[in-house]
Amino acid sequence: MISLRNVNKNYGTFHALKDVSLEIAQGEKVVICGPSGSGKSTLIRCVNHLEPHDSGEIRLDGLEVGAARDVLKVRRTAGMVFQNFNLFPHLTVLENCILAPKLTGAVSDREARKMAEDYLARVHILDQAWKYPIQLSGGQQQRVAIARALCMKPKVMLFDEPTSALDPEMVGEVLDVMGELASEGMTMICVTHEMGFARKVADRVVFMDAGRIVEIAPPETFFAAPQSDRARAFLSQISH
Amino acid sequence: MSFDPSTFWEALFSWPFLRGALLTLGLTIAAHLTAILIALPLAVVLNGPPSVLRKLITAYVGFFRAVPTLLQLLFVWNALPQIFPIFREEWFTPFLAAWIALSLNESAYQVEINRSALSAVDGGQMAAGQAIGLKKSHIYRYIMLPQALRVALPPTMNEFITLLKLTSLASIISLQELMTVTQINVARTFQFSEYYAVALTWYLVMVYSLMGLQKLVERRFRWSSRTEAAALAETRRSRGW
Repeated sequence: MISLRNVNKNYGTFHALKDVSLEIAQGEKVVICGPSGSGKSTLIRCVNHLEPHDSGEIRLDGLEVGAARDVLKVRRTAGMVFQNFNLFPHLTVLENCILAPKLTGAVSDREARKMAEDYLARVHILDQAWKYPIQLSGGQQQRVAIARALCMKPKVMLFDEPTSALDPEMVGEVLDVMGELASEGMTMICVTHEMGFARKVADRVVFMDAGRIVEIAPPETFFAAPQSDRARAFLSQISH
Repeated sequence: MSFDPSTFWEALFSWPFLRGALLTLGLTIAAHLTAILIALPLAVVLNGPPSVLRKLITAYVGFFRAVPTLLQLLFVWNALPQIFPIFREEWFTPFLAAWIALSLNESAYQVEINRSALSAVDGGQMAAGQAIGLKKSHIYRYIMLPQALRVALPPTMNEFITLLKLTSLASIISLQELMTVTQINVARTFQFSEYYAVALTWYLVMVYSLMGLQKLVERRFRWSSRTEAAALAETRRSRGW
């Protein structure tokens, strides 16, 4: 479903991704972790071409990521959830969800609204549909952001530290929704430091450091017996 | 004290002064709308990645901000016909000349307002629009511009008011706007206070009406305030969206 081969990305002289290769099958859930600046966010932002990669090949559901003619197709194949939610503040919750389906013209207004209501119900926030984002808590906003992404019927969901900006008591509600999505068979890449979530949901954990993938392992192996010194050091840091 | 109220009232609603005020307002609206139309695409380019086009626009903005408005008016009215014979014909009126000069002049200031308003919109908004697969024109039309407008409105209204008063410069190219009419009447009668008061009244009426209009438009931006968003949401809900 997603394949990266020898992907490189530079920001000026900073080498953000170094020869990154990764294959992700349909329905697979992959958690990416690692210290800040290790290239985790850059990696998933390259998958939907929010950041253009400099060399190597990225394919998403058969599409070549980076080919000019397929940019919009690639982005509609992958839904993305951001650390800071990035809801559109001037639109209500419902309008946030129906904007893209309406503009891309695939559905009528009524169908778009019906679909948005379905997804808002699935993330347990339909009762707030008429509110503006500023009226919602962080956890609620992030669930709306998930619903907004789902409204484009993506085949893959990319989560970029979805709970990092949340108050601790709101982390659970967002992780629950993500867990439900995972159990329905969605292909997911999730950059997160929530190791409980990784243990419960991930098929594989990818550990990155300094722009490279250092280690890939199933969560039980990764947490019990990390292979690299760097991963061991990282895990001992975050378990405090 | 010599202030003749009857002269004041008579002049206030007389056709020359009404016409002058309408010309002033009309010229301001026409020039400002044109300026905004010129400035919008330029601001979008300036908000984007570095390019040759961006350098050219920066030069354009610098040029029209550096040249005095009065000089621009005189240049368009007097020098342009010397250079291009087409401007020597009947259709090239003082109004048209003032419209061209003030539009170009104002567009330079408006570019800066629009550019800063666009860059004030959170960077995540563009990314979110891209991530849901919208094309660039849709991202600007439905996501960036509605939010940038909130930031741009107060300085834009400032510009409008400044421009409204700058139109009085057009008296030098014999456009019969409000100040020209005032000067003519003063020169004829030496009743300074009465006719100046008429001009003052009309400028005040125009500016205060516009400030009222600004308040109305700003009600649309209540989504940005935690306390007022609820009221806006309720209103829209009760109207069935």
